[in-house]
Amino acid sequence: MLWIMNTKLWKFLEYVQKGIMILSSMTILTLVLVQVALRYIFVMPLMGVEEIATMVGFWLYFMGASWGTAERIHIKADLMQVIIKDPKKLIWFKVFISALSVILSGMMVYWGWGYFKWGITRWQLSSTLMIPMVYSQSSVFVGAILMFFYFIIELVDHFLQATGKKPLDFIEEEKTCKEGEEASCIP
Amino acid sequence: GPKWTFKMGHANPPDTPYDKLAHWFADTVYERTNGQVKINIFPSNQLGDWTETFELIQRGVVEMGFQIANAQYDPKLNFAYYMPYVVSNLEEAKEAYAPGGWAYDIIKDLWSEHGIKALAVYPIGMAGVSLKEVPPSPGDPTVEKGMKVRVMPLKACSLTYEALGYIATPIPYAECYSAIQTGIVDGQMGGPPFQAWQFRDVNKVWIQYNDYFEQHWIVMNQDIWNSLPADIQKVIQDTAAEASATRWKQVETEDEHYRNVLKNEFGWTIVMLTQDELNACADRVRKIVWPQMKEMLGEELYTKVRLATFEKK
Amino acid sequence: MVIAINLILLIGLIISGLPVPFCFMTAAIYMAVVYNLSFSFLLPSGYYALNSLTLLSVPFFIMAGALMSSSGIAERLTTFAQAFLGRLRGGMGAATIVACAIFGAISGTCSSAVACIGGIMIPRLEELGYPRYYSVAMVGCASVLGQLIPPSVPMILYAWVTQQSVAACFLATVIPGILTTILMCIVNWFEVRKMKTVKTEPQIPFDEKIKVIGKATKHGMWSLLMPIIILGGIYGGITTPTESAAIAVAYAIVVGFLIHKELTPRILGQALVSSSSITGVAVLMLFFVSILAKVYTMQRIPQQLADFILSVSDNKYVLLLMVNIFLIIIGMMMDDFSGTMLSAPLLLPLMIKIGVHPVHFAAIMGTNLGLGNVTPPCAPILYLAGRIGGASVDQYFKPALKFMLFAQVPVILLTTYIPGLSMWLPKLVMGIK
Ligand code: NA
Ligand code: NA
Repeated sequence: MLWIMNTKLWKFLEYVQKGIMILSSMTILTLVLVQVALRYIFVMPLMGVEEIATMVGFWLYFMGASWGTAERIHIKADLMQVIIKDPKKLIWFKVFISALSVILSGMMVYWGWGYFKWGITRWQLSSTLMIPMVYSQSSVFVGAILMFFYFIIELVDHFLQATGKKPLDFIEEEKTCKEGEEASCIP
Repeated sequence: GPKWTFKMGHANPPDTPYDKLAHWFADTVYERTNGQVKINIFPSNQLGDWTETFELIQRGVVEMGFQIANAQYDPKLNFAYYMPYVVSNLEEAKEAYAPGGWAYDIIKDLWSEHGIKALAVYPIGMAGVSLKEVPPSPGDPTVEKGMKVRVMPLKACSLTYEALGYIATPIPYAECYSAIQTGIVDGQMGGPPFQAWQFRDVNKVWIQYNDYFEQHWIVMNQDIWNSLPADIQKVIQDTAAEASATRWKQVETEDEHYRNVLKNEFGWTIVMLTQDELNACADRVRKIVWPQMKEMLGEELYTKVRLATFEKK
Repeated sequence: MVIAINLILLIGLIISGLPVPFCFMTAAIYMAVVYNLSFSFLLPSGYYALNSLTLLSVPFFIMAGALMSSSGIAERLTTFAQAFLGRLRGGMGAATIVACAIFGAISGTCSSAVACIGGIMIPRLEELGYPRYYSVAMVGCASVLGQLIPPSVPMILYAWVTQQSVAACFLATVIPGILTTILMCIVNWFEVRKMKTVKTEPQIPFDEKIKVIGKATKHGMWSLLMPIIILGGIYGGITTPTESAAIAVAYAIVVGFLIHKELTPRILGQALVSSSSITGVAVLMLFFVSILAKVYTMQRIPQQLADFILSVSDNKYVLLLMVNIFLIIIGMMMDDFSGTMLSAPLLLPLMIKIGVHPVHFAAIMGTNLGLGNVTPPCAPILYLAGRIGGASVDQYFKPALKFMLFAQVPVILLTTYIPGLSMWLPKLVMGIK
């Protein structure tokens, strides 16, 4: 467990991100169900419901992707542990990969900022309800910042392990698989 | 090799009349510039749908396009894409959208406000709706049809088809086919008989509502255009005008051709409304939908459009 | 040359263990640098790709998968399946494969089949003694059946791009899909025979068995209704796949709270958080794959590959074999949506020239790109299965390879070289000549 995970900042981020994930999930669910009900009960589908659902969906995607970075559940091939047998070399290789992740997510932050600025200045509106699309476009930028932050934490963690501190991988310490959580809880 | 290489996308599948003309345009420009300008054609929305390619052209990442206006960046552009019953038949469409026509001039200016040089109009055809069966009194817009029609996800589209007596259901084009197939909607709007032909297995009826005249535009990024020497500009401009003229001739026969194919080869019922019925539809839609588009278009443009259409008569 | 370097870069990075989305991102950056493209459009391209209502079915089906576990639905469903198949050797494995095929028919995409069936069945199978990595390989490969058994989103895209009838394209992949299902069950039977850990229940008398089945049916009634609701919604013309996915989630919540009483607000919250994270990491990959695909399209990379194919031979069977290889490479590099969008318009003129019917080509594309999706290095669907099942590539690669070689590859070859296999149903039902 890294010290930062006990800080108020981490807890705050966790609280907010999980809140947005739950809220956006429930929102898109409700919107889509309401639309089905309107179509069959009132035979009058509401204009633009799908549009809002898709926009909210972006927050679900990018909050999920960045929280996935915090929990280190990104899709990746674990072939290096087969190729590099020496654990010391392996952890230094992981430091390198984490550094690469930091750089790439940093670039994503930079481009995300450019996209955010474009969104603010051009003020693109959705087709039906004419909602400013920057509301959903900004999720890309926010998600990139969060991923950048969590990749830095991962880099620090791997670096500490590589320099001889004891393993600090928080996932194994923090979480135990509860029933009904198989999908998220991976040992 | 060529001095300039441009990417140019369009919405239709390879080997359709649209695609063939696009290739003719590219080849002719290449020839007339002695190989200095090479245009690569990307059919079938390969570069993205019209909202995305509009942005790509604005950014100059894609240089050219057979492009639909994207009203997301400017509600006024709704006029350039879907505004119902600006015209009610092909003759009026030709008057309005041919070079020098009143709508032509308005739209050309709108494009340039967004950093895009409009070279020529690329007409597609008179629109209508395809359905599973003939609705009650298709020509009388005041009769509730009790049928669900897929409309393009645009406010003006929903309002128009509601005004024509249908239950408007906005669905993205990609999901349209399976929505009809499974019965979520009874039919679709959003293009000329050619588009209905894509739905030949799931629909049985075509109603020629003429609710709008679909036109794409041959466009280029303004900065890239400005950077070209005058002689190259002239070749591109002239060739675009020729492509446009060819397309105008095709439009006359093409809608007819696809209606005949649907009728004779696939057993469809083709409903052609009389001009009186078309006028009734147009009047009702203009009365109900247009006031709601006033805010989108702005006072000035809205007044211009009104003056140019029914107040003219 | 650029293509080769780009491919090597992509493969190298994926092997290095860099999160796959960022491997695609790096490959896109490389292409943009080489071709001097402005970076400004990369993120917007990804945004436009994700801005789709259809894609919302992914979080819904992942949610449904998570909730089917935590509201007790999955447990009762598997008990039910076990009552029928538990006594057969490898029976539960076969049931999983069939479940993937059916679930693929529910969702229209493979990733949701991986998420839902994988989430439920992998822990179940582990209890029965199937190694986790084996189940991951099985679910990953079987989920590709979702592309072959209608409705299938890539087939709709193919039909639009090539101006073919969607109904005909749907029907073209049905027989190859069923064939793949059967072959996978056979592979599973051979594999399970070698596993000493896998348990089968002792034989019991017939009337006893009827009682067990009856009990499992009664116990699992509410759970059994769920797939019926989803399928009925779509095939009955009531809802779109996205909507029926949402209904499935709502149904799971109601049953979990009111009928099985196993769901609590806390567990619901946890399930939503975990399904959002899984959706997020999957969608992030799609985000960067779409960006890379856009750069490829702009630089006509697939076009260059196709030209290369034509320069080598003009023999129909040689060409078909090369098309197979080409499609598998495309499938290796990108997702099924982008792969379809790129390859269909590119290869169809060539196919027509050598006398392949467009509807037949739909089946060729479907089976090939399906294999590509589970072929490392870029095997998004297989990695997703690994993610969900919690096994690493080096473990599940070998069994996955067996499913590919003995189930998918034979069907690809049969589909490619025997047109009747895919053309029979469209001819019968649609009267296609
Ligand atoms: Na399917
Ligand atoms: Na692959």
